[in-house]
Order: sequence, then C-alpha cells, then structure tokens
Amino acid sequence: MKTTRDDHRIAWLTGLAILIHMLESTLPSPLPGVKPGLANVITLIVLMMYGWSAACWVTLLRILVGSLLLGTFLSPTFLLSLSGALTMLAAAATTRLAPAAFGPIGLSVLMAIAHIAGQFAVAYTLFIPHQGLFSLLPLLMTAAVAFGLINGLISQAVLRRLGHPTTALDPARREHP
Amino acid sequence: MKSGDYLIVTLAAIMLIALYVNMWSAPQQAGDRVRIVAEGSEPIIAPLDRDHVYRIHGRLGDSVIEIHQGRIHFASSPCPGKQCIHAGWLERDGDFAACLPNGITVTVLGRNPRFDAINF
Amino acid sequence: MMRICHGAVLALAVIGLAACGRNAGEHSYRLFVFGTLVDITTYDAQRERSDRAVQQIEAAMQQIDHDWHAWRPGPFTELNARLAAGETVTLDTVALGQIRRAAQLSATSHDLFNPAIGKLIAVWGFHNDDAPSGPPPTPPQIYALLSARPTMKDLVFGDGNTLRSTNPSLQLDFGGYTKALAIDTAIAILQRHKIHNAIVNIGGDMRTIGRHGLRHWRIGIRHPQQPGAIASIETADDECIFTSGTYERYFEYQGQTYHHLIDPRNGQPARGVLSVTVLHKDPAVAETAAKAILIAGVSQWQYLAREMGVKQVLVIDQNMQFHATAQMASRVKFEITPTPDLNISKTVP
Repeated sequence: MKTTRDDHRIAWLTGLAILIHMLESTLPSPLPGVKPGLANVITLIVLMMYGWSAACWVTLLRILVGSLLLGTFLSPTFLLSLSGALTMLAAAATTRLAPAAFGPIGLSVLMAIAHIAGQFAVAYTLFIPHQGLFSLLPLLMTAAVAFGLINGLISQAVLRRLGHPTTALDPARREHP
Repeated sequence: MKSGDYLIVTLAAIMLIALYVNMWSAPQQAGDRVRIVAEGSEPIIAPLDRDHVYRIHGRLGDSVIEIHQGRIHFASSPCPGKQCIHAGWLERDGDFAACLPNGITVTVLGRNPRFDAINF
Repeated sequence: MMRICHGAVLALAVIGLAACGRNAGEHSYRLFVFGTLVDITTYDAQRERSDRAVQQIEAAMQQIDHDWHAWRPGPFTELNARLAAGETVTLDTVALGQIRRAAQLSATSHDLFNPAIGKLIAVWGFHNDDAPSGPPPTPPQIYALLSARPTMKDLVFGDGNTLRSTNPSLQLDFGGYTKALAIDTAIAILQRHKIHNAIVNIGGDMRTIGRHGLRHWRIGIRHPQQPGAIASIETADDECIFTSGTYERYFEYQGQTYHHLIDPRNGQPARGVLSVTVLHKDPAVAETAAKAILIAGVSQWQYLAREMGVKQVLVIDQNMQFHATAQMASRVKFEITPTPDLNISKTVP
C-alpha cells in the first residue's frame, strides 16, 4: 500500500486534532456542552483542503482515539461527542451541493450549530428528557455561534497562510489527489 | 466571506433572536403558579401573583378559593370538617390543601418542584 | 469511507425521529378513590401508554374499594355479617390470601395492628367519609367492645378456602392495608404496560419504582403540624414510603382532639407519637408497621420495629423529638432549620 504526501498530512492533522481535543477536555467548562471546539478548526481545514471524506476520517478518528485515551469510550461523553460530530458532518455534506458558495466562516458557524443540535437531541432523548433542558438551548446556541465564528476566522487565517483558496473545492476532485 | 457565508450567519442570527424571544415570552417564567383540581373537570392553573377569587363547584357545593398577595387559601367550603380552611394560606412550592368531601385540591407549583410526591 | 458516513447520516435521522416521536417526560394523574387522593406519576413512558395504564388502575382501584370497603354496604360488610353470625364462608384464593397475610402481620405486631376491631373504629365515628363531630364513645361502650377481645387469631382458615370466626365481636376493617394492596395492583398494571419509572401515591402513602431520569425519586415528608415538608427521602429503585400520622383524620370535641389511630389495648386514640414513617419494599409491611409502631408509643417503638423486621423508621413524638433507626438516619434529609437532633436507635440493626 502506497501512501501519498497528502495521506501523511492528513495523519499529522488527525494527530494535531486529537492533541487539541485532549487539551480542551482538561479546561473547565461553565456549562456542560459549552466548549470552544478548537479541534474543529482542524476539521474545517481538512474539509477545505482535502474534502468531506477526509474530514469525516479526521473527526471520527479524533473522537475514537481521544475517548480511548481519556477513558471515556462508550460513556455518555463519548456518545454526545459522536452524535455532535455526526450531525456536524451531515450539515457539512449539504454544502457540497454548492461548494463555491461557502467559505470557512459560514461552514464553521453551520457546523457548530449542527454539532450542538445533535448533542442536544441525544442528551434530551437518552439522558435528560426534561423540559427544563430547553431553557438552556438559547445559551448553548449563542455559544455555538460565537465559537463557530471564532473558529471560522482562525481557519480562514490558517488557510490563507497555507496559500489555500478559502472556498470549498469540489470534494469529488479531492477524493483521489 | 462568500454569499453562502452571509446567508448562514444571517440565518444563525435570526435563529438566536427567535430562541431568546421564545424563551422570554414563555408563560409563567417567573413566580409561582397554583393548580386547582376539582373532581371530574380540567385543572385550573393560575398565577399566584394575581389576586383572584375562584368559586369551584364540587360534590357538595361551591368552595371559594382566594388568591391574595402571592398566597392562596380555601376561604369557604360546604364540607362539614373544614380541614381545607384550617390548612390556612399556602405559598411555598409544593404546599398543598385538599377538601376531600368536596373533591377539590389546591397545589402550589414551582418552576422546579422540590419533590416528586409528598408523603403523609 | 462513504459507506460509513452514509450510515452516520442514517443513524442521525433515526435519532432525530426518535426525539420527535416520543412524548416521554413526566405524566401526572390525580384520581379520587378510597375517599382520598390517588396520585400517579410516570416518567419516560409515552403519554398514550400512561393514559391506558392509569385508566385500568382507576377501574381496578374502584373495584378494590368496593370489595373491601369497611362500612359501605357491599361484599365486605356482608362477609363481616356472616362471620359475626358464625357462618363458614367460602372465599376466592386471592381474597383469602390477603386476609391470611393481614392475620400474619397482626401477629408479628403483637396485635397492635389489629384489623379485627372494626366495631371499635365504628363506635368512634370513623366509619364515615367525613370527620365525625363527636362526642367520643363512653367508657362503658369502649369497655364492652374491648372485653370481647376480637383479634385476627379468632379467624379459622379451614379446608377448601373457607373462613369462619370464633368471636362474634370480630369485625374486619382493613383501612390502610387495603390501600397497600391497591398500590401493588397499580404497580403490576404499570409494569404490564412496560412502565418502569413511576410513583403510585394513595393518600400520601406510596410505592416508587425506577427513577426520575438521571436522579432518584424525591419524596417530601409532610410536617405533622404545619404546611410543607419536614424532611425528604430519595427512594431506591423499588421502595415504599408509608407514614401513619395522628393529623390525617381527627375530630375535635369540647376542646379535645381525637384522632383515628385507636390503640386496641385501651380503645383510645394512641398517645405520645405524632407520626411514624417506614421505608420498606413491601407496602403491606410498611403500612402495618407504621401504624403498629405509632400505637406502640415512644417507649416501645424500637421493640415493635425489631419484631416487625423494619429497619428504616422515623418517629416524631408529641414533643417534636425525632427518633430514627440508624439506616433511616443516614437517608433522611431535614428540610427545616435548624436541623433537629435525631435520637438514633441503638437496638434496631
């Protein structure tokens, strides 16, 4: 099996995402579910540079390895992470219909909202089916939009540094570089 | 920023506004409510901060239930024992009075009820 | 890779549908049966399923109330009349089992829980939906009923599901024991409807199953002298919490208060204790132990608790002193300030 330069890059980026994921899990959180989600900067960069499939790999590997290292595999934390990631990736997939229309900022905000929406649905269905949870939703969404914007700006800056156009390229072209 | 980015950010802003408006306009956010249940009819839910006198029809006749200055009590009742009137004013979360002969109960509800049930 | 992600989208759609389709959460119902309030709370069960179960429970409870009612004319008053006449009565296995169980519990309580003294309860005026207005019975009236000494030992369980009484003064009055049976019936109906998180509360005595989502069911114990809770308990997965209190039914006559918990030893309302709360898995044990311990009084409560095999007991006496078993003391949380001193039993394990 031959590996390309891009494969190596994706592997490095996955490692970096796991590192960020681990560091962030040590930060205190004012509210469960409110986190900057800085690892998603990597997801976003991979999405822009290597396409949606690669982004799926990086994200799912990050969650799997991260949870194994933190000892949260198959715990509620893991299920919430995973569900958030799946909705986030699904939302990103919809932008493939018009790849040229979206830059990192819009994608980042969209994915952050989708992420928290997925987590919220799972938290409500599986763990806390209590109406009171809904009163948290505005705060959670505000945090998601704010961190989405910040992560989007960071990704845009990084992509400019790397000399990459800040438009989602046709991912089909990127499947086999 | 691309056109799609503007669209997403605008929609996100609208969604946030809608969420906050919905949260603040939700009924009975602040303050407590009371639930008045008469046998065989729909419960009445009323705010405790609005003075009002209810005349509730029960098995034996009409019970008069008064809300005054954030408290509620049975003002009069056709029952023989008058235990419901002796219960006095209710104001705290979970406070409860009943007129069993007349089939009427009054419960103070809070936003987060402290107990799921009261043992007595 | 693509296949994994398609699977993910599909899983997501399922989760989304599940979130919309379940109107789970908490559902509460209030019924009027047994001359009191019946509250049923279900958690994490669909509304329609809860509704159906509660409908069946209401019908079943009304049936139990009809079948076991201590004074309203019906099958039970008829049974009492035939037993008093010295007849041998044939009963169905279930009913007979419940009477036999009451007799066993009465024996372990040293007859302080004595459901054979229906005549005494009646003469005090408590065979009525409303509180009696007095006057209390005269000493000769009480003496006449006490001297006949009706107890459950007067019942003879014969072959072929038969029952007879050797004491014409015996009149069965199951009181709270009937409610304990109804609670078990209700929980069985809920479980048949696959509802595993619920409270069935009949007139303040209840059995809880499962939990309230992430936390246990939280039960407030009413203050015996004022509105609101005096303490609270988080109940285990399947547990009953029963309280006998002198404040539940009483009447006043010429400035004296007379309550409904009649001491079978002297025919008078029991003295010294305001309320007894018992936690136990079996509602029949919890109900009869709470009543017997209250009647036993402050000096003998620990003895009765040991005899009846209940290990989680809270006693509030008429001086507002608190007594508890060690196991109860570790679970009860006081809701009043200052936190009262608790006299912890050294003799109940």
